[in-house]
Amino acid sequence: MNEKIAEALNDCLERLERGEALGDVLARYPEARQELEPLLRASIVTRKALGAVVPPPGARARVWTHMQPAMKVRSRPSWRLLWLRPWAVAATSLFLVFLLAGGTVLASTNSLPHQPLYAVKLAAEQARLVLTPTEAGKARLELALAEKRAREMVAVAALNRPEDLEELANRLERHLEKVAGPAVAVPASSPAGSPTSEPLTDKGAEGAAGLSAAPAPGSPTVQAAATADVAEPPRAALTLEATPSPGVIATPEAAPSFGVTATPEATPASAVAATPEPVPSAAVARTPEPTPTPEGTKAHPQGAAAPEVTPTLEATTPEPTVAPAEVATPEPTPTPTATATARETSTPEKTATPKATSTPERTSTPRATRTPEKTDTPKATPTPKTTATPKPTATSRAEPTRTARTEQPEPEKTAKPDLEARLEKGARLQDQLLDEALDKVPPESREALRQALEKNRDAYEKALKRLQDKHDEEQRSDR
Amino acid sequence: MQDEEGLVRRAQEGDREAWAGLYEANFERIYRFLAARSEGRMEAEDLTEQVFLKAYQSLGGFNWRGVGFTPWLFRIARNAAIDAQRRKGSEQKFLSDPPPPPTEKDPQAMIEEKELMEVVLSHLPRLTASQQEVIRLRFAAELSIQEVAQVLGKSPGAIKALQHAAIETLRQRLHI
Repeated sequence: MNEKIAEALNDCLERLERGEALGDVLARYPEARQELEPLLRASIVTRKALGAVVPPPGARARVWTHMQPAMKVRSRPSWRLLWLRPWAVAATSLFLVFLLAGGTVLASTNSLPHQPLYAVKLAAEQARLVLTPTEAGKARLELALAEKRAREMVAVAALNRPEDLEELANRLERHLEKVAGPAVAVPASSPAGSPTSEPLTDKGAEGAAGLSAAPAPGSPTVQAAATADVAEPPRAALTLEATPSPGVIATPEAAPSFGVTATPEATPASAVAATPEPVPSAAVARTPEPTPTPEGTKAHPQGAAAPEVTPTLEATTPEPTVAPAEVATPEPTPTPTATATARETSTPEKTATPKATSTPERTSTPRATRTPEKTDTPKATPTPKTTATPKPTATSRAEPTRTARTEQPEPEKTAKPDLEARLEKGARLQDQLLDEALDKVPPESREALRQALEKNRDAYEKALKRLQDKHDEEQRSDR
Repeated sequence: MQDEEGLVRRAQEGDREAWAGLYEANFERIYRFLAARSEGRMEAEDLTEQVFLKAYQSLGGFNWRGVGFTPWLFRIARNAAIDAQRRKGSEQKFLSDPPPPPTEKDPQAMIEEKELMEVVLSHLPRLTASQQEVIRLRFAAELSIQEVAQVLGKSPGAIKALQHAAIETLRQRLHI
């Protein structure tokens, strides 16, 4: 009952507040009128009494003025208040999403192909690639990813999961393809005038500048030297030869790879004949192929070129029986015909390039060639031989040539494009990884890993070759 | 209400004009509420200043969930008054120096109003503390039942019951 009266009383008070007359309000509750009326009158009196309390004149302004100095201090909106704002909610949601995504990506960093987070890792890598603005940056990133794949191969081999190696090797190859363009099937023996050979010749013509310098030694430069010999003293020839050598030093490993993979046949007899001695030495040092070259050298070494070559051969390849033979021959300067060489320039160069690339000799030659004095005194070149010493270390390994590459100094790297240097490094890395992995990988996976890393190295070398070819073409078109 | 909400948001963002608008809208009610429980005019004025200052400084922490701005402001006022009473250590009875009645009125009417005010205020202490609060908030501050419920943290039904009981007591005291 009291509740009903309390409810009716409040309703009547609200109506009175809205301006309704007391009689009208009471008329709504006829049954409670007697009880409500005195209560409403008491309420009206109370309201009137309390409502009569009015602030004194000026109180409003006074209080406001007093507050002003203290109003400079104000609390900041609380996080609860911020939370009510839509942008704050959106920003927080985004932040959380990124945090979660970032955490997952972070957790996936060390994942391997057989693990669930590996897909996240690959996706994150793709995202990085997409977000990389420049082509150069993308290429560098692809190289870094290729290196990552190589390390993953060691990891999966250590876990005795050789079945993952192939997938990783394929991924690595794809990374490299993106750096240097897709791999093009190269015929086993490319004709002398084939596109691959041409760029090399061009490079040679340009001289020591750039990567092209590396292949050059064998080919155009040497030929030029040969021709020069006829007219001029050996100095010119030597300098010419020298130019290639620096290139060789810079990219010792890369160069060999060309010779081996791309144009093994480069050594056609004619070319050999035309091109001087450098060819033999390089070929010998690097790969079995050299055998043909020595012959060439024997046939017609050029005075200028010969001296340099000989030292290198001796120095670098003390063991290889082939080398000595060459050494002996080179000095006999008589070249068949300068003109012949000139004509053949295109083809022979090729042969030269591969050989030139061969690591050991080059390293030695560069020094000699650099200083003109050396040209004067070809015998001085032997000193470089000492530099060639790396070879021995190479021999200690399973594949001497490769190790030799790793150990060779890289003073001229700066002259080479960054990507090529990185590709060379990547190729070297495969051997390093194999060395490092020997203790970690179970014996049953070791062979599979070795093969996979060798495949990687080939992929690197091919990529480097493609990249250099691309550069050559660019240079030619520029010209 | 929408206007009040807009003013509050702007004031929270540092808009002094918006804060001045809120001050204008609530100054008199706050003053009246405090004057109805303080001992003197100056004390009511000081308390009013404290209330608005405290509200301004705490405005950043105010949000619209649960309690509206007016009840929030009156909570501050009530707490300030309670603190002031505690400091004094004495329970306030009624205005010893009641605020002057509205000017420009018939002197006779003014006297009657003042007498009535004194009578009513003299009977307020006879009520329970909760009843007093309800009467001050309902008739001095002119808050709705909902707002009073928010200030005191009670249900509207409970406030209605308190209001009924308080008015019944006053009716008896006033011999109505």
